[in-house]
Amino acid sequence: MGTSGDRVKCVIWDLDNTLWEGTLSEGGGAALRPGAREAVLELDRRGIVQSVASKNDRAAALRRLAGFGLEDYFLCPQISWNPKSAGVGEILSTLNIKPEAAALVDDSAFERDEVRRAFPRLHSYDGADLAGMLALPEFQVPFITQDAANRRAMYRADLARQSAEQAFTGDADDFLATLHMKLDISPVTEADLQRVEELTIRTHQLNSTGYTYSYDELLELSRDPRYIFRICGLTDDYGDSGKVGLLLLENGEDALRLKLLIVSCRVMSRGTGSALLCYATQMAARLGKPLLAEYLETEYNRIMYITYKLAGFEEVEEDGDRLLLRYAQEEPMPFADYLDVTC
Amino acid sequence: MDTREQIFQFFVDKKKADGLTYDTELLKSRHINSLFALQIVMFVEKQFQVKLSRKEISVENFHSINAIAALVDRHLGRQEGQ
Repeated sequence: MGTSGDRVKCVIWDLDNTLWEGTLSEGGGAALRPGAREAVLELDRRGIVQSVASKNDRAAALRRLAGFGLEDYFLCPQISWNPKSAGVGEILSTLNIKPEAAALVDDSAFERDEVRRAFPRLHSYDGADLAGMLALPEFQVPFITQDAANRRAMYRADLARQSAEQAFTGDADDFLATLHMKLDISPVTEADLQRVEELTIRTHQLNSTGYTYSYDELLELSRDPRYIFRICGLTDDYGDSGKVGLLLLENGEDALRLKLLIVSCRVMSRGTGSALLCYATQMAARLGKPLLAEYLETEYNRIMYITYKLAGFEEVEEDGDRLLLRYAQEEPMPFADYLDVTC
Repeated sequence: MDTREQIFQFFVDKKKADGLTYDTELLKSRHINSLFALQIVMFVEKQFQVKLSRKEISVENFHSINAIAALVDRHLGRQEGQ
């Protein structure tokens, strides 16, 4: 177990004199800077998503990116004459990424400072040495998982889903029903462990304890008969979101203990966490044991506490920031109507 | 608008509110996902400028609009009394 540092999940590129040579509005931008294309491709391979924040004419800049064959690599590009911090803020909120998990690459010290004033914890780099930047610890990923390689496509599907949701008038649950979501809950196998480790490292807001586990610890847990270790995959009409949730239950003699509940922030509005909780209550009912849940308060995971409490859990023990909660309802929770669950 | 009318309006804006009353069992009548649970708590804290303690986030305090309104009013009353 350890804590995760501020790993970069999203790189936001400036264009003029950062991604390409020269200033587009002054006739520059004819060629990419040395190493820029390689950096974009390598970040994509690592599952680090990318966007653009640039002061430029939007249509001209997008045309130039397309000319380089790079337009698909950048999600929700923010290209306008507005302050750069506004564009960066828009990217962070659209992609649901915290400032400390994002990096700005911009040759201008003025722009980096302007953005850092708005987001003090955001990483920033001048981009002079792109290969050196990619070698920094915050840009490393432990493994290249299938989910990482598909991440850009998943974010694109998320953006399409978000705009459909904004256009939808009516109840949020009715919108979820239109997605035809299928949730598959299955035992964690060795083949899943890299993704499991990635989920524990990348997820902070929807992590019930903030624990992270090493590959070897996870391997042991997946083989230990005292544990019920589940991973879930989510697909819907917009595409495959990949493996998005984890549930670790300790099957003790007198209680089923929920040790870990993690849900990828990308799917937080789609009922996945609730579904895993429902699953845990159903499992406890089947085993005829009370369901206990550990919760360790961190800087970010209050949403988990609220989820537990409003699902009918009650505190039974309190030790500083560490709580033990018990499911206090007579009936297990049924899955939501809008989810087609296989388990 | 009084406290419960403001909370009612929040539900009307966010959820299908057909047949919703101040006493409707919110947590049983409809599956509340983690995002909506969070939205309710955030809304209450922002709208009424209160900070709910861990203990106050409970099924009892959120089971109906009346219950949420009572929680808010207790909070505001206590603050005024200080």
